[in-house]
Amino acid sequence: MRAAWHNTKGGGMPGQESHTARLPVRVDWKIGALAAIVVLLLALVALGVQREMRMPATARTTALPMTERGVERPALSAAEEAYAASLWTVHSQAKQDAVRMTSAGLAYQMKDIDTTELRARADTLVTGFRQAQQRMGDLTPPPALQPIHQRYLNALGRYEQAAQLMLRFTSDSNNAHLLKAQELSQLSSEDLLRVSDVLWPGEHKPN
Amino acid sequence: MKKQVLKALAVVGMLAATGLSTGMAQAQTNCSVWLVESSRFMNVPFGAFMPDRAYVPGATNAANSINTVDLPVNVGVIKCGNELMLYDAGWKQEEYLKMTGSDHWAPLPEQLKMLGFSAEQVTKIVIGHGHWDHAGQLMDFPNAVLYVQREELKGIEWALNYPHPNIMAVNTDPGGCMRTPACGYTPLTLDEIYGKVLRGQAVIVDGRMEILPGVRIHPAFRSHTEGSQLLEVPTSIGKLVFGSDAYSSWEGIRDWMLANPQQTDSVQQFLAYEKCYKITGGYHNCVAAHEPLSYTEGYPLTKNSWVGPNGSRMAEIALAPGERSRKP
Repeated sequence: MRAAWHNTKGGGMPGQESHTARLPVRVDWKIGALAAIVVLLLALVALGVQREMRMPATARTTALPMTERGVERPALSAAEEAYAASLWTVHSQAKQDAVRMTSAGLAYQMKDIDTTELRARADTLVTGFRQAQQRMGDLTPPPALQPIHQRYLNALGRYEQAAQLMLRFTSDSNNAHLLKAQELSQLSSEDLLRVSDVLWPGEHKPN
Repeated sequence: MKKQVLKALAVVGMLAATGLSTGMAQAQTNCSVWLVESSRFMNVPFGAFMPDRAYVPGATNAANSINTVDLPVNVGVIKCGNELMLYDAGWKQEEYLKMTGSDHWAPLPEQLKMLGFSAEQVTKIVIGHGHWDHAGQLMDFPNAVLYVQREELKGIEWALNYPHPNIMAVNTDPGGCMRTPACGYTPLTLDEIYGKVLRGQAVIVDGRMEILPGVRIHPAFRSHTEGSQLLEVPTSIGKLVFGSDAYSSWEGIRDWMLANPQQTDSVQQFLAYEKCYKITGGYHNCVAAHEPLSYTEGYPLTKNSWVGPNGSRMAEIALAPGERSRKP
């Protein structure tokens, strides 16, 4: 091999012999160094992938660049997809009830409905949010989505509290109850968006 | 003697009339106007925005030769005397509301800062309608009074109580709601509107209302949503009319084409277009919310533009006498 390589160089100039004779040795050293670098890089990539897989879905998405968020989101696993589909049925109703609660408050402020009607609506909403929490109790989230599940459950709990406060207002006419209810509702609405961002990205379209 | 008195009275009357009309003219030309881009929805199929402009591969007709467009979300910044107003309030990009496919979002307070204003200075916010991408930063303006049509709020009630699931739906499927009447009102956006109402920082408008001398709200019901409203603003370049999504596309107003259908009643949208022609004498001074040509020569009203925070664009439309330019 060495002779063949040497032969390809032809006769060469005096003094070149010793130089070229050492080259194969240097090439072997370079290959070794290159291989070490490649192995190191592969290890780093593997570590990165492993770390990425360990991160919760929310952390993975927020780490993405702004313009690509959602586009490069790792797909949900089959179990996660199934959970998202099950939660969607709860979400559809809960979201509608949340809008109903605010709309009832607005209708009352506009004097389109009276206290009796507000009480009836708040009562229905308390039941609705409570039932939604019960329905969530029947769902078993995959481990990675446990925080999402808990967040949604907490949001429903706050919505229920808000409806309770609205109900209390109909008894004592204390506006502070409505203000507190609005704050709780707003917190829950933010949480609904947080969950939606993970499970149903693209839920909201330009309008 | 009588004649002299009459002549004197006539002269005084004419002077008074001149003074009055000058005063009125001054009262109606004292607003400065800027436009800021809250964000940009990227690569939207043109046909989804304007059905008459749908892309036809190989089309020789220029109207159908554009595949996708980038749609700005425009917010009007209006200064009349000491009053600083917004027309629409954009939307708020948070870690939980990213709107994949949108770009160049910037907080309105930061954009105002670039114009030399603070969020605290905003005294009025008129929302063209209550959808999430037009009423999404209300709580960031602690001193602002919100102006919203009663019909807009009643429209949501009507939709939610409609006895058919496909009409009352807030969500239709996991891909998101599209054109049901209540689908553009996220719980969070309504919470923000309700928050303003509860804190006594809202005026629920019934139809037409003059909120400052010459600054008038005009109802444009069902031109995009149940209670859409326009805003007429007097400026040194003539009257402007802001239209939010009733005026989604300026080209649509110019060419009489439907834009941003969503919940729009096309006849009512055309009547809203006509209102701008009537008030301003044409289509040039109609201010559109999502016109793809915004901030370019293609939409002359907005061509005096520059780039602001996070690549968002801004334009100086009109300056009141004595008002300094805010263009860097």
